[in-house]
Amino acid sequence: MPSELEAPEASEAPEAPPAPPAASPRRLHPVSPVLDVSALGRQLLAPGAVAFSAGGLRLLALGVVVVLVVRVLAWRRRTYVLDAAVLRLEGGLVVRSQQVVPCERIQQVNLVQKLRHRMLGVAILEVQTAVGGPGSGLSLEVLAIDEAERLRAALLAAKVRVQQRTADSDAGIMHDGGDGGGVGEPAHAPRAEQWVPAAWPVVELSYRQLTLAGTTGVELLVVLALAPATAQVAWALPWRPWDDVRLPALDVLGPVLLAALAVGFVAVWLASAAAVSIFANAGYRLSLVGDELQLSRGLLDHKETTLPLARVQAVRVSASLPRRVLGLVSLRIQSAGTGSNSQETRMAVPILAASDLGRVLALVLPGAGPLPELHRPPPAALRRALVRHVVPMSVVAAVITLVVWPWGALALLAVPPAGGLGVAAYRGLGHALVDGFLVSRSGSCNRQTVVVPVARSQSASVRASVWQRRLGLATLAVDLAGPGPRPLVHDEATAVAEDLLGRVMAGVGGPGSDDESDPGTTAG
Amino acid sequence: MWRLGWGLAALVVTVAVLGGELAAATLSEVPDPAWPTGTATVVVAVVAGALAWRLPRLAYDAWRYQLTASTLELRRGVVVHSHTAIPYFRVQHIDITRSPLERALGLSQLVVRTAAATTDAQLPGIAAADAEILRDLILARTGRGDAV
Repeated sequence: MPSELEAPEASEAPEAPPAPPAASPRRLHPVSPVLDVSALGRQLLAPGAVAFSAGGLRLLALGVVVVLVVRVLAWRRRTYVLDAAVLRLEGGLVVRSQQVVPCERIQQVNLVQKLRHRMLGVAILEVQTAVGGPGSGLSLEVLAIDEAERLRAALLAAKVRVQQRTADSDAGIMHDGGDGGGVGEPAHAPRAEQWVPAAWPVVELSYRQLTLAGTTGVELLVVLALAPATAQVAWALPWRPWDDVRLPALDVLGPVLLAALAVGFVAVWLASAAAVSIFANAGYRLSLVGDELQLSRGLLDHKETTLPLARVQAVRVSASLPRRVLGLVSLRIQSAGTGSNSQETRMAVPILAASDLGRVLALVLPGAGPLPELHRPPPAALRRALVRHVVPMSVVAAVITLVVWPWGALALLAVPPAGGLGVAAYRGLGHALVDGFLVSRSGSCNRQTVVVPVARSQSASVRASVWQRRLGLATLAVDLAGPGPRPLVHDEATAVAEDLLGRVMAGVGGPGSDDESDPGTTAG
Repeated sequence: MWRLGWGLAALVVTVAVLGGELAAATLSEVPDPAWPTGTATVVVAVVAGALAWRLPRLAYDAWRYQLTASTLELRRGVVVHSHTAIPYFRVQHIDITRSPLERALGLSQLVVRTAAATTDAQLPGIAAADAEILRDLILARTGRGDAV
């Protein structure tokens, strides 16, 4: 029945439909036509430009009316339905289109509430599948918040049911908790309250922790990058307090004033970095609901992201130098789901005590424990790290010295620190393969440790450049589904790297353990 | 099974000659050349020629692929050695491509794809008849046939 494009029964009171059977097509929330402002802006651009050049206000009004009418008509056509195990989105005024997502292909479900959505009590529901590129998922923009939450729960419940039906019993990690409530449900309209099992908190962050995250993280650089623009704006202001500060005592007070200014600047800098962090992550809560990770965060724009544990491809732990001193790390979860706006919906833990890492890793990657003792690459890797850091720096310094003779020689002072960086880079290297997890660490100042469940890897390769071969070294790279950098084990002895490759391949297992994304096998 | 590289060889030669010509063109733009314009071209041509003569042979010698019990293994590379392993059951699909040059030489290229975009598995220079056999051989081992 849902194959009919017209949905006459959906015309009655689209606002807050009182839970009709789930299999009837529904429309998006009536505010949808005007709420996706970017598309609206684009469409209003043409009539706006025409009206501006022709100088007719009436023309502009006409254009706006036409655009709005078209959008409302498009909204009336656009329906979605969750039918058994398939989410179907239909619509289109001239060209009819139908998007279908089988529930078992769902990688990630996001609930995004920008400020304007929160004021109206609506949300965008994004459903992501594994296939890369745009159009790999679908976005329901916008739904009433209740409906969005109901649909999300229904989608996830349907996914679990399909997986239960196919009964791949050996994929134990997918079914080990919390799905008991969803199994006995009738095939239609599972209610969110019934299905959602207890949520285990994984990480919750207070304002104090977010402040710490902001003042030790990339936010510092972001704010610094924005500083020139701010300064320019300040310069353009008609009121210039500093023009009046031409006091005779300035000579005396000069250094003091300068110091005060510097302190003030640093204070503002840190405060803005903290504010950036708080805006993005206020109310940060990462929890484990059944076999899904749920992340909710955001001060003004509220985002909720749901990621099935089985879709986690790798966890990347990074610690910058200041954070290492403070015993802090941040986490990024790499998944096979691809979103158009991955920045907004990616799963990350902005800050975490290093001592807490083992617990969080064990929850996010069932079976993984705290980071194991890492195996150091051979001393030849130290030579390579030194050469890689010292040689380029020496060349640059030599050129500067020759070009700007006497003073340019100061550049040579930068060579020893480069050597130090090389040593640090070597010390940062390490790897381990335990209990089916490949752990690899790299980085001189900013240390990155990536934990990969070997069973989820797609392929792997060992590469050795001319320079590496002269030192008997090679680098192992593991290919994972989905976007993100590929995990590397740098500069290990060739034999060890080859051995690792073999063990990774052995750990991939067979078709029986094929528990993650398989785009393209059924979806044409 | 190891017929490889002549397409590659011809390609390298063409590119090298083109590179030589381009280098000559750019060098002749210099208003007051310190040495006759032809020198650079000759040097480039000699180097390119030597490379074009030698590289394909080396690349060909370095190229090996192997079907093991559970993985497809590729070894290749002259400057950067690379050894890639792909489990059969991770193979999503296999493309067979034939460029005009390859068609002229009766060769095909197999491109094996997995769910990871970074998987780089190309088997160039497979005889056209063998390519389809090889593809079917790999697909038969993916276990998809009897899975559903």
